[in-house]
Amino acid sequence: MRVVNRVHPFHLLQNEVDRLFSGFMSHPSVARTANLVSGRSFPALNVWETEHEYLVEAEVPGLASEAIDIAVVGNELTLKGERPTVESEGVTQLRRERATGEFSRTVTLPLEIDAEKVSARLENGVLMLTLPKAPSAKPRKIQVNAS
Amino acid sequence: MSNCCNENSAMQVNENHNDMQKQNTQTTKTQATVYHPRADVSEQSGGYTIVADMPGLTPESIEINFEDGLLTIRGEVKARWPENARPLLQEYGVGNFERSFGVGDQVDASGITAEYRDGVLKLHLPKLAAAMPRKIAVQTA
Repeated sequence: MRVVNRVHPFHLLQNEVDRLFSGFMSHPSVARTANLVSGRSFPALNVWETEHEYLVEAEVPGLASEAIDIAVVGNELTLKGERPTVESEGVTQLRRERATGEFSRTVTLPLEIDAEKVSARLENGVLMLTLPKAPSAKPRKIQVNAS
Repeated sequence: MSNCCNENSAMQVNENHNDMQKQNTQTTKTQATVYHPRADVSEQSGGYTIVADMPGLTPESIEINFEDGLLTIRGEVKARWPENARPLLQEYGVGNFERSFGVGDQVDASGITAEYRDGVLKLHLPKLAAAMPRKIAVQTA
């Protein structure tokens, strides 16, 4: 009798993909869209630029300010933290869509940041960062001297 | 964690959601995009808990309605676009939140409580006394 392997190649691939992204996601069906919320792409960022600074906004619901680690080196901004999993006894989980686990996200900005002057504000789950450009990175006007 | 959803439960979530972090559910030319908040739903012996990620709101901007066994949560997000700034990277959209949960007739509507903290809305829906599990003692004859 011939033994048939019933595992479809697609499922093998799907398992592999789930495994790759399982670091951050706890829910297998959510893990399939983990390109949106994997450990490396969470939190999603919106970034703006003004003449003197960059403004970075991230939605981090459920995180207190002490749970987010913000680091600036050169022109790189890194946000690190963890969204804890809440498990309690006598509770049946019917639906789990909110991502939990550790995250670390680094974004490279076009110009160097004045790390000393970075300010952060966390309000109702929205993190707002103001990153002033380093004086050395600002464009300078150079006078041409007439000979 | 592999345990997830006991779909036979009395609590059903309306099934037009998908797994995106924030899914835009309607867009028209005149109306702003409305987002579906991601939510966790759990059941305890005394009731249900719904936890939804709805960042950028204030308690006053949240509306919770319960009608005919349908619980609807809405949140109005104020525009927070910086002025005179040029967008460099836009990974998510900002707009109002809305989502409905079909909770059946087992919930005591008058006892529903809600709490909003750090951008997370937490709702507790107590079960009606009639829907509570009861322990029945067996007596000897």
